[in-house]
Formats: sequence, structure tokens, C-alpha cells
Amino acid sequence: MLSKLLRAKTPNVIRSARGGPDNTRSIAKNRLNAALSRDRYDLLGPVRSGRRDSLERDLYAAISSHLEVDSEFHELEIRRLNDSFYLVASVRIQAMLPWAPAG
Amino acid sequence: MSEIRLGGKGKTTGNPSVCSERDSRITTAAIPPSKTIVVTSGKGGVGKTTTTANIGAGLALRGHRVVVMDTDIGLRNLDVVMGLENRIVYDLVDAIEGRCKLNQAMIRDRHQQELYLIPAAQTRDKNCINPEQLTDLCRRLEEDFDYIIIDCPAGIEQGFRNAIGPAQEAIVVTTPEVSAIRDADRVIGLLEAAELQHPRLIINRIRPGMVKRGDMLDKDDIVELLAVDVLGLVPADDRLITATNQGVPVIHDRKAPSGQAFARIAARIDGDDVPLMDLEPKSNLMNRVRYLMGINRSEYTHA
Ligand SMILES: Nc1ncnc2c1ncn2[C@@H]1O[C@H](COP(=O)(O)OP(=O)(O)OP(=O)(O)O)[C@@H](O)[C@H]1O
Ligand SMILES: [Mg+2]
Repeated sequence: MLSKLLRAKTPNVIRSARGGPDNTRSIAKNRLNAALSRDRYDLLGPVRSGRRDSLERDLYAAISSHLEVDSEFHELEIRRLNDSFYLVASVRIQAMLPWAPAG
Repeated sequence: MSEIRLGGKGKTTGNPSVCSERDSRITTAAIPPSKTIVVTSGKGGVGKTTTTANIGAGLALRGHRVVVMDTDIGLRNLDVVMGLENRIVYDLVDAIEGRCKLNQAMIRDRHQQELYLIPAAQTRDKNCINPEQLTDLCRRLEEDFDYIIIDCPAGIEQGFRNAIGPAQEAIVVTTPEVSAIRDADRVIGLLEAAELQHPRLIINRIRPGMVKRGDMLDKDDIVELLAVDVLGLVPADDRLITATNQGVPVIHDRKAPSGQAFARIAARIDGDDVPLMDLEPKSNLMNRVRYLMGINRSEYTHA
């Protein structure tokens, strides 16, 4: 799943450097893909209700009860693959807490 | 209601490359056809006014009673595109503020009996009317007319809110360029937030030769990015410019590929099942030579 997303994200500029399709159409498409996800994600956030901040806060709270992580997300964005949108979050783990089995 | 777009079309069909003609026919059969349609874009200069004039003319050619309304207050243009600029006495704001009767602000088209223009005021600004006033006015027009086509100003401010207020349906015009598509995405989000679901897209100023060379986004790219249904594809066309120079909507020029494209769009709005045609560059050698020398009139075979 994640590898699929990452592949979808590889800009064509890079691919064309490796001998892939080299035309301005695919460059435009990749730039748009990035710009639209960014725009859509930005709209989630501060303008209306601070939802972006609260999403970040809630995710951090949930994760940090299991793992010791940076307080800032390395990435937190909405990406698009075909017709679906995915929330992609990554955060650096500082130290593993001792693992406690459930129950 | 949130403005964020979470995959408009993807939710319903799951395949952006499937053409939507059949879906829209089913919709038209189930509920009464929309009468008031706004033509909008976000970005300026992509062809909203041209589209409004030609859709209006196209629907009138099909025998409907049509009003086209310019809501670009302060920057009116629909009048000159239709060649009616010398006939303006009263305008939209006069009608809304009661300085004239509604029918006094309606100018009959030069070519068609059943097509009327309501021009924008030129010396006022977008804040002098509000969406409720425009909605009232359109509801009155809907009693006498089959279609009211609203030409929306560029931008997403007051003028945009006014123009979308009365609409039951929205058409978004874009060109195959990064900035226009990005703005279209923003506008589609705002339309959906305003309960104007399933706006349909017109891609204007397509250059099939560039698409073929891989130097222009094509229909499928744009559909994939925006996740909306396509209403029509309009080529960049020199004949459109010469028609506009004369104040005649290009749909009256039978040889113009863009005019043919607008006729097909009008038919689709009217519920006809007209398949989308991909624009093909003319491939014959003489035309290529002419094109390279810059003396051809259009680069396309059909629209
Ligand atoms: N398919 C086309 N081929 C060639 N020229 C076109 C085409 N469509 C529009 N134009 C030209 O592009 C210009 C802008 O078109 P138009 O005024 O319809 O855009 P608009 O979106 O209404 O602009 P604004 O945002 O300023 O209101 C005009 O000069 C028009 O003649
Ligand atoms: Mg205009």
C-alpha cells in the first residue's frame, strides 16, 4: 500500500532523468497533483476550524501513548491515488517504550 | 459544510475515465431539468463569457427560450461578445434596485427571437447586489424561460457568491493549464460546499497538436486530477476570435470547430446523449505546412 503511494508520488522529472517519458505534459500533471493535494489539505485546516491542528494533536496523543515520538510530524498530508484519498502521516520514533502485552 | 474535496466522482463511479453522458441522462429523467446554470472558473480569461454566449445561443437554436445574464458587475463583456453593446439602456442592477421593470433590462438578441441578454452594470461594483436578490430575480425569470445562463466573474469573492446563489447547476470552464486547473479545483470545492453537487467541466482552448506531442494535459489527465464529469471539449480556434471581433457567437459559424463543440455542449445540457469526441489534429501535409507557417485557421478536424 505505502509503496504504491510512494511510487505514485515519484515525479516524472525524476523518471525522465532515468530515461522515462520526457514531456511537459507529465511534468504539469505531477506538479498539479502535488499542488491540489496541498490545497485540499490546507483547506482541512486552520481557515475554518483549526481542524488540521486538532488532527495533528489527536494523532500525536494516540501515538505517544504507545511510542515516544517527535512532537512534530515529519509528514502529515492527504495524498491521492486514482480515485481515493489517503491520509499519510509519518513521525520519527525517538525511543521505543518497553513493550507491554495487552491485558 | 466543509470546503474540502474528497473525491467527488470517485465515490460514485470509481472510474474517472468513464464518460458521464449516461449518468447525466438518468439524472435529467428523474428530476426536472435545471433551469438556472452558472458558468464559472475561478481563473480569469479562460472563456466563461464566450461559453455563456454560445451555450445561450445554442439552447435558443434548439428552440428554447433563454436568458443569458452577465453578473460581472463593473467589467461587463457578455454584451460585446453578443454584439449587443449599443442596445443597452437598463442593466441588471437597475432591475434589482427597481429603477426599471425586469423586461426593460432584457435585450433581445440580434440573431434569435427567443434569446435575451441581461447586461451587468458597468459603473457599480460586485458588492451592490447580493445572492438573495439575484435568486429572486432568477426565480421570476424561470417562470417564463427554459434556461437562465449566468456568466460569473473571475475570482471566488462576492461576485462569485452572487452568481452561484440562484444556480441549480454549475459548469466549470478551464483550460489545459496548471493554474487554470488548480483554480478550477478550488472552485469545484466551493461549489460542492454550496450544495451545487456534480459541477460539469468544459475544457477550453485545447490544442490537439500539443496534446499529441505530449506538451499539453489531455482530457483524461484533467478528469483524473479534478474528479468531475466532462461536459465538453473546445479547441483553441482562430475562427472564435474572428467571430467575437464581429460580435457574433461562434456557434453561428458552421465551419468553426469551436462552434461545433459548443453546439454539442448545448445538446448535452439539453439532455441529449452526445458522445464526447477526442479532438484530433489535422494530419494532412498541406495543413501541417500551413500550420507551421502560421497561416492555417484551425488545427483541427472536428470538435
Ligand atoms: N476556444 C477559444 N479559442 C480561441 N480564443 C478563445 C477561445 N475561448 C476564449 N477565447 C478568447 O479568450 C479571451 C477570454 O475569453 P472570455 O472573455 O470568454 O473569458 P472569461 O473567462 O469570461 O474572462 P474573464 O474572467 O475576464 O471574465 C477572449 O478574447 C476570447 O475571445
Ligand atoms: Mg468574462
